[in-house]
Amino acid sequence: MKCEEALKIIDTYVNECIDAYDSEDFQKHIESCESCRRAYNEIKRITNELNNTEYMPLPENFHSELTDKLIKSGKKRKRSALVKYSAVAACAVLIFMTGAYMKNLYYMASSGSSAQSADSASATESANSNMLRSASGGMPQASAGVYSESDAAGIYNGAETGAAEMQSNVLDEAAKSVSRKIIKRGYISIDVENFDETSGLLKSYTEQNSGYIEQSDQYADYDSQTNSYRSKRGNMIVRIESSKFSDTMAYIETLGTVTSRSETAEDITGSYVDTQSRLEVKEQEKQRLMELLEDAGNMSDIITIEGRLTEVISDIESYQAQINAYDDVVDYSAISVSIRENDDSSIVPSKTKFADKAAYNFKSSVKMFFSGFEGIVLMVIKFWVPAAVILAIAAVVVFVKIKRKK
Amino acid sequence: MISSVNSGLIKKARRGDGRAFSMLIENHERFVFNVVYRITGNAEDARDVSQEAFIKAFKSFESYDESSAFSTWLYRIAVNTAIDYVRKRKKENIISFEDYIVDEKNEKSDSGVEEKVISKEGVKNIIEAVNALDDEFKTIIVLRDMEGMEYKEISDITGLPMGTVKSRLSRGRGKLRQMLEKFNPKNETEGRGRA
Repeated sequence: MKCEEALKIIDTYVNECIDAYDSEDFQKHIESCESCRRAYNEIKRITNELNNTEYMPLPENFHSELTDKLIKSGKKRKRSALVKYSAVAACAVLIFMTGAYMKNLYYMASSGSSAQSADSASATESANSNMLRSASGGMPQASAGVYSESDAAGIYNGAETGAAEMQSNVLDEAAKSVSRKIIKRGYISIDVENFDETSGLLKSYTEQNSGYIEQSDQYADYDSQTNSYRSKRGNMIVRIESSKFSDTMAYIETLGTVTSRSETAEDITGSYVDTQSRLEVKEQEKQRLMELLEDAGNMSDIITIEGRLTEVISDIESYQAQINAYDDVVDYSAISVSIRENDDSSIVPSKTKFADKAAYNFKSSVKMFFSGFEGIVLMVIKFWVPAAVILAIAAVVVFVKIKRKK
Repeated sequence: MISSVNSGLIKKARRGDGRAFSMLIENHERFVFNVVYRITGNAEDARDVSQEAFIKAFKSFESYDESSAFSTWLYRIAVNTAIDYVRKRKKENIISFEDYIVDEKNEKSDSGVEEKVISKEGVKNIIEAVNALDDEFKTIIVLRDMEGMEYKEISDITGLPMGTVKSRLSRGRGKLRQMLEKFNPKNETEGRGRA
């Protein structure tokens, strides 16, 4: 046996290899080879020593210290679970709130659209009633059904007008208490028998009440069959003293059948007062500059002061202009009047009555279809886009968490 | 290996009860501390590293599937934590016994270091040599020769095949013998004398 082989056996000196140690070859080699014998003894000594190494006692307080650490880390785990659950709860609340928000939106959207449809229905109704009334050509003997319909429309309009009057009265009171600066605007659409007559009446009323017509336009449909214009329409903006706002609105309503009507009141007191105080400050500065200019001794001082003075005067002018503009809109309310002439000439024999009705209904149903479609698109945008964003964020968070866990 | 008492503790510990886990491991503390001490070669480090290993075990206790003995699972974590620690320490260039040997091999060390090494004798010397071994041999030597574990158990703890455990043990012992021969000429003469 060679030394290399013997050393290999020595290094694999393990219990299972006892055969190798017992082998004659190995024993012979060990006896004859001093270095291998030495190696053999050494490995025996090492393993014996290692086997006999005494156990180190645990350091002092090892157990209690470890127990404390374990309890603490256990608490930490519980806390992390708490954090987890509160995160889940927060998500739930968020989703719930989003749901409530979307529900709100839904109600707003649906009530808005129902209001719209009510409006359009009333418009349809009044248009129909007008059409029918004109068709009857002022004959009181027309069928009872027609009358009851137009009566109903009349009642409806009356109720609406009453509510609007109440509203405008409230606005008036608000404007009167403390000299608040309120811009009132009115919008009214009326259907009339004769456009020219109505616009003439409105103009004279405005002039009598020291108001003025700010803008006026009119146009008419051209009938290629008769080569003439018919059914005049027009818009007027009437400016009237704000104290006479409600009266004027009421007067316009008497001119024809009201198809739509609204008022707005914008309180600009804050910005008005701001502008006023800025103007005062600038006035004071102007006064001081004037005094300084009188006392100024040399040329450069004069130039500097004059330069500043120019700026201040320009500021004063712009503030003044703003105040004037405010005063103008506050003192003189604007009422936009939309006047539409009933198309008498187009209403011919009762033969075409059904066709007209059908055409009108068809048009309105097409209109309703498109507005319904628009509503659906808007709902999708309102509901699903935020929901999709929230879901996407949640998905990303969950994905990242899962990845981290892995 | 898991008694009914233990299974109750295991349930509690799984739910994050630190005290229950502490009771579960009480009988293994000394063993784990010693294994870690022999791998790290430093009592102070062993205290921290073994405690870290226990906490690590507690935190990942949910992943313990009871397919292996609790002790095997626990020792595996302890051995891995200790080896990780030693490797990290090596990266941070803390001088250990091994550094002296490398210096000796390269014949760069001064006589002072050699004397220091030579002056150590007996068990202390052997343990120093064990400390100087590479982690892969050291772990096996510690578990087999110092803790007297079966190959199967060592294989379970280290996740190495039995054959690898045996060959590493053999090579580790060879290295130990060579190291001690080189640094302990006294031993050499003793051996000669005996022979």
